[in-house]
Amino acid sequence: MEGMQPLHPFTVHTQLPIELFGVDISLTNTAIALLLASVCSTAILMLLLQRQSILPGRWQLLGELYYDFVRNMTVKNIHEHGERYVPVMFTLFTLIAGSNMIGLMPGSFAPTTQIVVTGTLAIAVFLYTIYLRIRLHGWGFFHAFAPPGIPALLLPLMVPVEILSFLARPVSLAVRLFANMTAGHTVLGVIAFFGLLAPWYIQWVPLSLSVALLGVEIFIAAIQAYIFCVLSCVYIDDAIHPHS
Amino acid sequence: MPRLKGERAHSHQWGLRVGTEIVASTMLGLGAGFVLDRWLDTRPLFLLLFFAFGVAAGFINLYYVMGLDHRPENKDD
Repeated sequence: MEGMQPLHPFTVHTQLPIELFGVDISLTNTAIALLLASVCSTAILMLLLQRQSILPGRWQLLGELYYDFVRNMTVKNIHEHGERYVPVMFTLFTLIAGSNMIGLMPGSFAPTTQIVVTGTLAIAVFLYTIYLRIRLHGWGFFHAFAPPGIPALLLPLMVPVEILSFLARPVSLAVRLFANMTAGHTVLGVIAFFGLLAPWYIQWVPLSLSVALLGVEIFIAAIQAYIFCVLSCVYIDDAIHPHS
Repeated sequence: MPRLKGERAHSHQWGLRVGTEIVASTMLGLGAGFVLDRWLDTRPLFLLLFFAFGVAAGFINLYYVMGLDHRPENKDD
């Protein structure tokens, strides 16, 4: 059957070719979906908080609950200075959750199914934590790569391992989000194709399964955004209060 | 090191996290070894060495995650 390629929806196409001073900055479907996700989530939040009052209405309450959820998550995971990082975590959570959700609309595209998007977000968080470490603790943070109490003989083995385990953080952040979203969308696509291919008397099985899966996907979209943000908080907390 | 409060409630997420920790470290080790080998033309010395380092780093991350998860909160090492 034509078009039955489960990974086809993840292909990046150029939608609007733009070249500026010889640099290709064309708008691809990823960039458009990412822009759409940020515009939609900003618009929804602005609509929720349109009429602000001391006694919140239904929509304002929804917006406040959402903000409170992200705020609690940040304050719980970044001890002492959590309040300072609420805006950045709120932005990160909203962008990732919006990008995950927008891909669930038929005909749309999830920007988080591209490792370049999740990788950029993860590297940004990682560089920010390194900046925080250097600003707060100076260059002394390099001591963290030599765990205390290790015999000098083992240091040539332990230091590369510790450095690798530190550098693996952004990789695992990026891969986790990308893999979860790609796997979820692929499964949805495959089940939907089963629905189209099946004989009419059995078609209801894959089609109802795809509806149920869509529900699970909405849950996973939120959970993955939550995990990305919680781990970012943990890394920031680790930068502020190094344990070793 | 990373530890998620209440993650035990979502075993599926816990399992995924443990998996990605090991995969990410191994991938990074292999990548570093591959690049070093190409640069110094010593194939496959660094690839094998850094593969071992990567796997070890994955298990160290795992050890931290597991170890800290069982300890009382905010207890110093």
